[in-house]
Amino acid sequence: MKPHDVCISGIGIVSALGAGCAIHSEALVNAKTGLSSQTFFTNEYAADFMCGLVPKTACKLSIEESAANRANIFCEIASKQALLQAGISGAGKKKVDIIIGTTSGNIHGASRYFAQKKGNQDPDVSLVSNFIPASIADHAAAINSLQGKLLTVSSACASGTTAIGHAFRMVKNNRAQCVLAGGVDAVSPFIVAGFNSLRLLSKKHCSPFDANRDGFNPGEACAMVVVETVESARTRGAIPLARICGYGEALEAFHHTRSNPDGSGIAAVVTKAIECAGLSLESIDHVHCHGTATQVNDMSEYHGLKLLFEDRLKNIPICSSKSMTGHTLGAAGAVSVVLGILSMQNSIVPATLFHNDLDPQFTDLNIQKAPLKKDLRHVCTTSLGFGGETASLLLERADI
Amino acid sequence: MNAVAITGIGLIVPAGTDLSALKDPMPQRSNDALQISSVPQIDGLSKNDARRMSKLTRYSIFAANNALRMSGNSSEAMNIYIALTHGSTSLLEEFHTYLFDYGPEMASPNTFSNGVTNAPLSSISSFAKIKQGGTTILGYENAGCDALNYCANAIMDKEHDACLVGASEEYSEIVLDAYKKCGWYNTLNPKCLPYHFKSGDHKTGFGVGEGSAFFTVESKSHCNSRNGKALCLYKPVEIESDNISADMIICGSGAGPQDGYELDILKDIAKSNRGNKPVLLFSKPFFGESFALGSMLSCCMAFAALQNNIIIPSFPLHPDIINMYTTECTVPPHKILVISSGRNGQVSAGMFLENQSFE
Repeated sequence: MKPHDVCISGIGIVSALGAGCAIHSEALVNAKTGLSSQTFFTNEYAADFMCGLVPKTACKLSIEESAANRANIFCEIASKQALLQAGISGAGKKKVDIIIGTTSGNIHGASRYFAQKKGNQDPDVSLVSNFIPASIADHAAAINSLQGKLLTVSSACASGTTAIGHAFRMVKNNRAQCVLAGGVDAVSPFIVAGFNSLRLLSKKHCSPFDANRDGFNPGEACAMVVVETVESARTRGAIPLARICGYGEALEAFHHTRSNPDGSGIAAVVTKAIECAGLSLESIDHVHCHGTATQVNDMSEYHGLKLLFEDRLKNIPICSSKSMTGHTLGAAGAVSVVLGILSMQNSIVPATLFHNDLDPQFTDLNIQKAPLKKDLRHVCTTSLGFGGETASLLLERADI
Repeated sequence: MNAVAITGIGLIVPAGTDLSALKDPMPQRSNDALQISSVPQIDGLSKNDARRMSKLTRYSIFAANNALRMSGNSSEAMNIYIALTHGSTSLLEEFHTYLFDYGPEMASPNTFSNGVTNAPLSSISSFAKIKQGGTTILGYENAGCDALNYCANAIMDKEHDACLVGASEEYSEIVLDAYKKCGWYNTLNPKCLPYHFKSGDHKTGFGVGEGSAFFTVESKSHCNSRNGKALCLYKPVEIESDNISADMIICGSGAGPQDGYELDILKDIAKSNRGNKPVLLFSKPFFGESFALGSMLSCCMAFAALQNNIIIPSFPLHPDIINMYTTECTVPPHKILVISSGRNGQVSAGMFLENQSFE
C-alpha cells in the first residue's frame, strides 16, 4: 500500500453473533448463525418472527428495556472497538470526524412516545430527541470524546456502505484526516410491523438465493471502521487492516420500494467502484452480496452480477451474511465491510447458511453452503436499498 | 479550482413558492402562518401518486422539480442530496395509530414505505429519473448547509459534475409537542424574532415552519459546456479557519438553544471581517424554525439578495454586536455569508458570490 492510499485501521462490530471481531471471525470459519425466534407484539397480536437480535452477552438490555437508545448502545460498543484497534486516543481524537449510516436509528423511542400519548400518559419528550437519527452521531462523539465533524446519512439498506464510501471520499480528497464511519440499526416492533406489512419477512431462517426463499429475517447491528490514509495510520503505529480501493453509488429511479429486477443498479455501482479503484473486474476474488433472500432483491442482484461478470460469474464465489446476522438494514453494508475484512484475514469465503437449492434462474451463481478456503486479495461488497439506492465498496487485503 | 455555480432554485414555504416568499418577515403572530395550506399540482405526478406520498415528499418533489426546470440541466448528470431533521413524522404517527388499534396485520404498507427516511429522495429520483447517486443527510438546524457544502466539495473534488441539493421539513403534532415540552416552542414568538439578542434570554422560543427548498449546483465548467447560466457562485466556508470577508451575513438564529454560541460566532466574524461593517440578517423570522430546511432557506435568501430582489429589514440586535453590524442594506451585496448552527454545537457556513467575483 502507498502512503496516500485510504485504509481501514480499526474495525468494531456487534450483531446477533455477539460483540467483537474474534466472535465474528469464529462464526465465519465455523458457519454459525445468530438467528433465533422471538415474539413481538402483545395479547391477541403476539406472533413469532425469526430475527437476529444482539444477545444479552453483548448488550445487557432487552429490546423493551433499551427502547429509547438501543442504536446508541450498539454504536458505543462498535465504535470503542474500532478506535481501540486503530490506537486513537488523547489528542488524536480531536481530528476524528464521524459518519453514521442508519435507516431508523432509535425509532423504537418514537413508538414508545406514541404509545404513551395513546395511553393518555404524559409522553416522555426525551424519546423524541433520541429518535432524531442525527443523535446517534452525537452520542458516538460524546462517549468517545471525538471533536470532529458529524454527519449522518441514510440510503435505506445501503446506508452503512454509503457512510463508509463517503468517509473514503473525504479522506481521499483531503477533506478529513480520519473518519469513524459505519452503520447502525436496531430491531423494534415498528420495523417488524413495517416489513411484515410489505410481506417481506420470512418466519423461518432466511435462505438467500435459494429456490424456496420467502423473505428476510430482521436483524440489528452496528459495524464501525476507522478510515484514514496509510500514512496517517502508520504515523500513529496503527496497522492498516485493508485498503479501500473504490466506491460507487447509484439510484435506480425505478420504484419507491422495489429494486429493478434487471440488475442495472448493482451493475452500475460495481462498475463505478472498479473504475474508482483503477482495477478490472478480473481482480475481484469474492463478492459479499447484499443477499436479503427476498424474491426481487436476489433477482436484481443476480442479474446485476451476471451483467458484469457474464460467463465468469460461476468462478466468483459469493456469499450473503444475512443468514448469520439477519438483515441489519442501515448497518448491513458496514457489516459486510467488516466481515469482508475478516474473510480476507482468514482466507475464507463465508458460507451462506440455510441455502439448500439454488434458484434455477441463478444457475451461474457460485454460492457456498460451507466455508471455502480461498486466498482473497480483493473483496467487493454490494448493497441495495429501498427506493433503488445502491452502493458498492471494493476492499483490498492489507499486505498487497 | 473547480468553481461551483448555482444554476437553479425551487422552493415552497408557507408564504409562497418563489423568492418573493422570502421578502418579508412572517406577517402574523399565528402558527397557522407557518404551515403550507396546499401544494400546487406537479406536472407529471399523478394525483393518485401524490395522495400516497407524505407532505414532506410532495414538498420535496415540487421544489426539486422547479430547481431542475430552472437549471435546464439534464437529470442524467445529477446526484441528489437532501437534508432532513425529523423526516415524515405525520406518516410515522399514522402507521402507529393503525398498529396500536388493529395490530400488525392492519398496519399499512403504503404508510410505512412512504414514511421511511429516504422516501423523499427515492421519490424525486423516480420522478425525475435521476440515477447518478446521492444520499439523505440527517442532521439538525445546519443540515441544509451541510448538504450544500458536501455537494460543493464533491464538485470541487470532481466526484460529481452536478447535484440537486435541498432540504425539507414537515409540520406535525409530534414535532410541535416535543418542542413545546422542551420549552423551545413559544406561541408568543411564532415569528422567531431573535429578541433574545436584545433581552439576553436565550430560550425565548420559536414557531415551527415547514416546506422545501432545492438548488441545482454544478461545476462552472460543466455549466459552460452545456451553455447553462450560472446565477451565482458558492463556496463552503470553515468558520474557524477561513479568512472571512463578507458584506452581508445571514444567520439562522431563531430564538433556540444555540443562540448563545451563535452570538459568539457573530462577534468573532465581525472582528475578523477586515474592518468592514456587514449587514446582519436573521432569517428565521421569515419562515419559522424549519430545522434542516432553515439553513437551506437562509441560503435561498442569500441567493435572492444577490439577485437584488430582497428588501433587508432591520431587527433589534444584542448590545454586544450592535456596533459591529448594520441592519439596513444601502448597497447591493456582492458576497454573502450564511452561517447556521445545530443544537449539537456544529456550525456550517458557506459564501454566496456574484458570478464574476470568483477567483
